[in-house]
Amino acid sequence: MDVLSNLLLGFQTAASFINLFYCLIGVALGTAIGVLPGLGPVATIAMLLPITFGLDPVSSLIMLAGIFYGAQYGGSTTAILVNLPGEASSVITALDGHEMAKRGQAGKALATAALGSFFAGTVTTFLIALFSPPLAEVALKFGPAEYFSLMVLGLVASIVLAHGSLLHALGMIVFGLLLGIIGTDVNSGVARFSFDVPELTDGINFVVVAMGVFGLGEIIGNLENEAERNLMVKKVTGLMLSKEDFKAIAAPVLRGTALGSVLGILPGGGAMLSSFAAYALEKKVSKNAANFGKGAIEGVAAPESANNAGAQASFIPMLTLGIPSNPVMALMIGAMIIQGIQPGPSVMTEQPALFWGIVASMWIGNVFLVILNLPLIGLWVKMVSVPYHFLFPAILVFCAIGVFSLANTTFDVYFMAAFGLLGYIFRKLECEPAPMMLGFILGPMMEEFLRRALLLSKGDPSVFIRRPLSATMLVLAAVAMVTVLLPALRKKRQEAFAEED
Amino acid sequence: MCIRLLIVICTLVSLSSAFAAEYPDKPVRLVVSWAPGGAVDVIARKVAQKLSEQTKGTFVVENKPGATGTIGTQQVIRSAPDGYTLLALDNTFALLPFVFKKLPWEQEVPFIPIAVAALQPVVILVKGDSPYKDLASLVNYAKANPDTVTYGTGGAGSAPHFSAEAFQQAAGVKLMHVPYKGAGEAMTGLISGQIDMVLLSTPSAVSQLKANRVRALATSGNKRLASFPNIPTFAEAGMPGFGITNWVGIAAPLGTPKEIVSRLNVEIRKALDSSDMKDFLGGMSAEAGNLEADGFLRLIKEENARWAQVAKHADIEKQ
Amino acid sequence: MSPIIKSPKDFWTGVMYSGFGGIAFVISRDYAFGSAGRMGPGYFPSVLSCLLIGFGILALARGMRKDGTAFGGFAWRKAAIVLAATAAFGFLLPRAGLIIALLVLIFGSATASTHFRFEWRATLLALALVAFCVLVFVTGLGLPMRLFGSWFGA
Repeated sequence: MDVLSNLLLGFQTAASFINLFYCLIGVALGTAIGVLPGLGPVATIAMLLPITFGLDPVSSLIMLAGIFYGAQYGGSTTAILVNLPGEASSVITALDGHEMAKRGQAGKALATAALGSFFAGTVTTFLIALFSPPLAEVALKFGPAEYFSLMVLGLVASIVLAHGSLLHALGMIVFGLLLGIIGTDVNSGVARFSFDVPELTDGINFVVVAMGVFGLGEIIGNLENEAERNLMVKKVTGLMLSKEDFKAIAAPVLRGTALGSVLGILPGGGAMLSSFAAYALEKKVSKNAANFGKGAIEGVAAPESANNAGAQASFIPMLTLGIPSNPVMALMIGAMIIQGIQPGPSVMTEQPALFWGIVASMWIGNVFLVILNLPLIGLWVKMVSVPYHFLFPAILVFCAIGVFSLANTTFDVYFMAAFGLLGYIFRKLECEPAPMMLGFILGPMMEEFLRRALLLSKGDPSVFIRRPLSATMLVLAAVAMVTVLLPALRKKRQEAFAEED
Repeated sequence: MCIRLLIVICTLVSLSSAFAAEYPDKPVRLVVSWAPGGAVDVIARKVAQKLSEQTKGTFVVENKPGATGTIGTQQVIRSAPDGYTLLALDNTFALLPFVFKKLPWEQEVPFIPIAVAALQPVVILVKGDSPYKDLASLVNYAKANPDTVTYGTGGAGSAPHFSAEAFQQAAGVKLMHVPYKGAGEAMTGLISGQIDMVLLSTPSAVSQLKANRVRALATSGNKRLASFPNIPTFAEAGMPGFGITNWVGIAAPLGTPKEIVSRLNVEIRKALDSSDMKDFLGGMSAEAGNLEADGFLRLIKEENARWAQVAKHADIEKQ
Repeated sequence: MSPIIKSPKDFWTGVMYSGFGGIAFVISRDYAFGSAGRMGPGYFPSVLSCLLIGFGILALARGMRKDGTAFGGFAWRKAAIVLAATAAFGFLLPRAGLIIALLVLIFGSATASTHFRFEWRATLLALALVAFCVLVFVTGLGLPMRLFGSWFGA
C-alpha cells in the first residue's frame, strides 16, 4: 500500500530523536506564545527564522509547524481563562469557555478543548495523508462566486452567535463589515476610511481590534465590578471530564472536526470560518441549545475541534500546491525557500521525506500537546485565582507588547486603546462584540469576492445561482436565515419592535 | 532644553564611538518594508545571514510592512545615518510616485542605494492547459478581441499591474484587469482557471512551472533562464522592446559615511558570489545583482522614467 | 428616567449606530459608486452605512417606546486610567525604552484598581514581570524594542 509506506517513511523521519526534539520545542514554544495574549505565530516564526537557518530543512519546518498549531492551541487557554481571544477562532471558544471558567469549570473547559483538538488533529493528519492531492484539486474548484456564497452563509451563521437582542447583533455585524473596509481597495487602489494615515491604508489588524474590544474592554468592565469578580473564582469544580461530559461532547467534536477539515482546505480563508460555522451548527442542532452562551460544554468542544482541524487542513493547499491560505503558511513558504526548497506540487514527489515527515510530525505534535497541556490545566486554573488587581496589569503588558509585535509599530498600541474604549461602551450598551468580529473578518473578503465574481461574469449576477456549489450555499444561507429569524420575530410580537405598525 | 542637550551629547557620543570601533560593533537593523515570508523578506534574510557570517557582526531583519512599503522606507530614511539602519526594498519603490498623490519624501531617491541583491526576470504565464501555446497566439487573440483576455495582479497599483500595463502598451492590446489581494492569490486564480494570464517575477512562478500547472510564454531579460531553457525571451517571442526586470536591493539613509556604504557594497557582492547564495537565487530563477552602488542608483532612475511613461498612458488612479 | 428615553441602552445604541453609519456614509460619497454590475470602491461602504443607519433608527425608535433597564454607572475614571496607561506605553516605548514604558504601564494601570496599595510585594512582582518581558521578548524572541529608547541616545 502506497499510503502506508509513505506514512511509514513519514514516521521514520519525524520520530528521529532530533526531529522529535524540535517538534517538542515547536509545540512548547507555540503553546507559550499562544497563551501570551496578542503575541501571534507570525511574529514568533518571523523572529525565530534565523535560528532555523542552521537546521536541517525537515527539522526546521517541523518546528515551525509545531509553533503554528501549538499557538492555536495555547490561544484557547487565554480565551477561556481571561476572555482574551488572540485570533478569530478563539473569539468563539471564549463565548462559552469563559462562561464555564466564571462558573468554576475552567478545568473542564480546558480539558474539552485539549481532547477535542487532539481528536480533530488526529483525524485531519490521516486525512492529509490519504487524500491531500485530490482535496487540493477540490479547493481549486472554489471560485469567487463560491467564496462569496460561503461568506454569506458565514454571515448568516454569525447572527446565531449573539444571544441577546437580534437588532443589536445585526447592527454589530454591519459595524464590523464597515470596520473591515478600512484600508486600500484591492480593485481600485483607493484608500478608504484611512484619513490620510499611512498605517491605516492596509486596514486594521484583527488582533488589534480583538485585544482592544475584548481585552481592554473586559479589564475596564471587571475593574468596575471588582467586588463581584473576586467572588467568582471561589468554587473550582472537577478538573477532569465526567462520563456525561464525554457523552455530551462526542457528537459536537465529530461534527466540528468534519466541518473544520472541509473548510480548512479552502485557501481563501475557509479555516477562519470553521469555528464560527461549527458553533452555529451546534447551537441549532444541540438539545442543550438554550445553554449556549451561558457555559455549554458543547459550545467549547465543537469550535475547538473545528479550529484545530481547520488549522491542520490549511497545510494541504500549502504542501500540495504551494498556495498559502494564511499569513503563517506564507511564512512557512518563505522558510522553505530560504532552505532552498521550492514549495509546490513538486515537494511531494521530490522530497517525500520532507512532506511525509511534516505530516507525521503533526500527529506526534498533537500527542505532545495533550501530554504537555493536560497537566498544565491545574496550573492555569490556579492562575485565575490570582487576585485580579495583580493579574490585570500583567494582561495589559502582554496585550501591549503582543500588539506592538504585529507590525513593530506603536501605532497599533494606540489603536488598541481606542478599541478598548469602544469595547467598554459596547459592554455598557449590551452590544455583543463576537458578531462584529466575524463581520470584520468577512467584510473585506466578501466585497472582494463579490466584485471579482461580477467582474469575471461581466456584471451578470446569475453566476451565484448558475454555479451549483454557490447556489447550494445560498439556499442553505436562506434556510438558516429563516430558522434564525422566525423564533426571534415571534418573540418580538410582545415587544415594542412589532408595535411599529 | 536640558533633555535636548542631553540628547545631542548622547548622539554625539554614540556616533563617535560608532566610528571609533570597527563597523559593525552593534546589531545592524535591516528593515524590510514588506510582511515576513514574501520574496523581499526571504532575500533580505538570506543577505542578513551572509553579512552576519562575513562581518562577524549581527544583521537583524525587522519587518515594517504597510502602505505599499512607504512606512518602512520612511522610517529608515529618517533614521540616524550611521550604517546601523538599512533598508531592503524592491522594484515597487520606483512605482510609488505614480501610485500615491503625495509621498512622505521629496527627493526622487531619498536614500543611498548600496547594492542590488537579486534581479528577477518577469515571466508571462498562462494555465498549463491553456489554448495559448505561444506569445504570438495570445497577442493575436487579444488584438482581435479587446477587453476579453483577463489578467490577474496583486491589486490596483501593484507591481504586476504596472508590468501588465507596460505589456499591453508594448503589444498594442487591451486586456481585462482582475485585481487580487497579492500576487500569490493571483497565481491561485490562474491555476484554478479564473483568469487567463499573469505577469509575475520568477520566484512566484518556479514551483508551478516545474509542476506544469502553468506555462510561461516568454521571459524578460536578454537571455533564457538557466533552469527553464525552453522559455523564449520576449525578444525571441516577437516583442523586442519589452524588458522589465524586478529587483531587490539594499539602501541606507542619506548621509551614511561613504566607507560604510562601499564596505557594504563589497560585502554584499562577496555574499552574492558565494556558492550557497548562488544556489539559493538559482532555486528561484533569480540572478545576483552584481552592480556598483551608483549602478543601482542609475537603475532606480531609469525605472522611474520608464514607469512615468507607462503611467502616463495607463488608467491607474493615484491614491 | 427621562420621559423620552425609555430604554437608554437601546437609545444610545441607536445613536451610536446611526452616528457611525452617518459618518461612514458621508465619507463614502467621496469614492466612486459604480453600478451593481461593476461596483466602484464606494458601493459597498455606502450600502453598508445605509444599513447601519437603518438599524440605528430602529434601535432609537425602540429606545423611545419600550421600557428597558437603566445604564448603571460609567466608570470614566477607571477607563481613562487604563487607556491612558496603554497609550503612554505606546508613546514611551520608542522614546524612553521598554523598561520605563513597562513600569509606567504596570503602575499606572494598577492605580485603577480599588485594591491598589503601594507595597513591596506588588513592586517585586512588577519588577519580575519587567525582567520576564525583557528576557522573553527582547533577548529570547528578539523583538525590535530597545531597553532604553531615543531619550537615552540609543
